Parts: sequence; structure tokens; C-alpha cells
Amino acid sequence: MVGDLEKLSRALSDDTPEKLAERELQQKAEQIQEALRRDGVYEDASLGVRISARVAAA
Amino acid sequence: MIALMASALLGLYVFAPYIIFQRFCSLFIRLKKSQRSKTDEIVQGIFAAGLPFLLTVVLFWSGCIGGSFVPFRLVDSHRQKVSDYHTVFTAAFSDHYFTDHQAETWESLDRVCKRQADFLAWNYGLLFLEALVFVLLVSFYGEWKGNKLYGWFASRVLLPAVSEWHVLLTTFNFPARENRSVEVDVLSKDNILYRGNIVDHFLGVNGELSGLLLSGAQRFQYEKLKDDRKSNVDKNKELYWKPIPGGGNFYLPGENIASLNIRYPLPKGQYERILTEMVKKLFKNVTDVSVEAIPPDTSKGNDAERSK
Repeated sequence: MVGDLEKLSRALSDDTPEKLAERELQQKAEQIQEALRRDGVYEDASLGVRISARVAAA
Repeated sequence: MIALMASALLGLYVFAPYIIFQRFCSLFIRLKKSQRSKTDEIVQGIFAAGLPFLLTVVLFWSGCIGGSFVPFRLVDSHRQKVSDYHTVFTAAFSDHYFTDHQAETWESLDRVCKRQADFLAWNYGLLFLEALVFVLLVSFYGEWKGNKLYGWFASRVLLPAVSEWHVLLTTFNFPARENRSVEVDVLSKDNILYRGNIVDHFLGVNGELSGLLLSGAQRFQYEKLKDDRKSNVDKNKELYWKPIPGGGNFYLPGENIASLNIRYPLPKGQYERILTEMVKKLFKNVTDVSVEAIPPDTSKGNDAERSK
């Protein structure tokens, strides 16, 4: 049996900024990969971050 | 007389321990108030007062406590004990018996009171211990909720006693080591949007939210946004947030709160560090990963406009 507060607690744990970011990154994986390969930078206003990286040649 | 004795016993053994437990725990945790059903109240009452009571009974009967470990040491036999209680109860039932055996009744009552005081001293001591363990177990919910045994106990015993406002408006749900803060957007009933960090929250007699104390509070200038939209001015939304003057804490009465949007952000830098690890994990072929925070929608407006 799961109580109301336990459900609330699980919902809060799943709704943290980093969990949301993780889902967002997974959803936009291809787009990010492409931007990093092309410009070395990917900027996402909804996540509030700028990701810089070098993509190794395949 | 019987009614008086029954009330005293009920007060000392059930109500007082329950109230002490509630008051002590409320110093550290916001407990649920009367939103609980009557059955929940009784179950909580029995759990709070019953556990130390039963433990005290077992410890006394097993002989683990007694002798010099009690405040009123009485050197008497089991027969004397039974006789004292018999005398006191008989005198309580019959005025005639009490009138005829006044001296004996008072002597017995004195010994009965001392034995009860011995019992209650341990009972209340164990009650404080129980309250302390309860507070510790609840406080570590964020750390231990992943543990199966603790999770089972928490969902059945600990969480039903905690106010949902404590779960929502504090970092209760997260490990202390994460050092999160609680940020909130509050829409008031007069349609003003506020935001800030929650410093404290207050509950009413029925457990309802009676007020919120915010630090770094800001008010969203929606009228200004509407005017700018009319004049086709497109500015960064951050610029419409205006700090509430005074710089101190801002109190919002519960009756004026229409809705809340609550966030539990990590300290500055930690979010970016976590995202860096995520990117490294997600994209195996990337190197020199760095993640930095950007203010939302930075392409429009500037900071100077914010103070206008």
C-alpha cells in the first residue's frame, strides 16, 4: 500500500531540475550531438545551460 | 471517586504522553494536525503512548528496572502491592469502607502513588526516547528512503504522522548533503505573482497553510508586461521581476495564496556538475565537456532595465 505522502515524495523526487534535465537531454540527444559536432556548443534556454564539448571523429 | 481516578489514569497514561510526544516532535517536524481521520488519531495515539507503556510494563515485570533505578524505592512484597491496590480500589468504590479504614487507605494510597510515580518516571523517559528516535528517523527520510526496510516503515508509520506542508515546503524529501533550497512562485488571490526562497511556513489549527515567509522576495510586474506587449516591446521576462523593497523577509498570509509552484534547486555549480556527468555518460564520443549556466532568454533586454 502506498500512502498519499509517499506518492507525493516520489513525485517530488522525480521532478527535480536535474531529473528534468536528464529527460530533456535524452530527448534531445541527436540535436545536441549534432550541435556539438558542428559548433562545439549547444545552448538550451529551457535548461538554462550552455554545453561545450569536442566530439571525437568517428 | 472512581470517575476521578479513571480520568487521572487516562490523562497520565494516554493523553499526557500523546501530547508530550506531539509537542516534542513539533519542535523539529511539522506533524499532521486534525486533517487525519479519527481512526488515524487513535492509531497514532496508541502508537505514541502505547509503545513506551508496554516497554515499561515489560521492564518492570522482568525485573530489569526497579530497586535503586526508581525515584521512590519501596521495600515491600508482591502481597503488599496487591493489598495496597485492593485497599485503594475498595475505598474508591465504597465510602463506608473508606470511613472505616481511613488510616490504612491513606497509607496504601501513598505507596500506590509512589509505585505509579516510579512507573511513570520510566514511562515518560521512554516516551522521550521514542520521540527522539521518531524525530531522527523522520529527519533522515531523504537519506534513507531508498532502503527497503526503512521505506516500508516510513510509509506505514512515519509519513502518516508528517504534515504534507512539511514535505512540500522543506527539503525533507532530499538528502541533507545535497544542500538544496526551496524556491517558490506564489500566485496570490489578487493575481500578483511572487517568488522567493522559503524561510519558514506556518500552519493553522487544522493543519492548513496559514502563511509563508520568503527571503529575497520578488514581485512580477504583469501590468508592465501587458503595456510592453501592447507597444510590441519584447523584453526578457526576467526583467519584469522586481525585488520587494526592504531586503528582509516577506510574509504571505495563507488566505491570500491561490497557488504555489515549488522547486528544490541544488546549490550554484552543482547542477552544472551533474549535467556535465550526464553529458559524458550520454555521449561517449565527447571530450572536454563543460556545462555553464546561462540566464534564461538573455538575448532580450539588459540588467539595467531591471531596476527601472
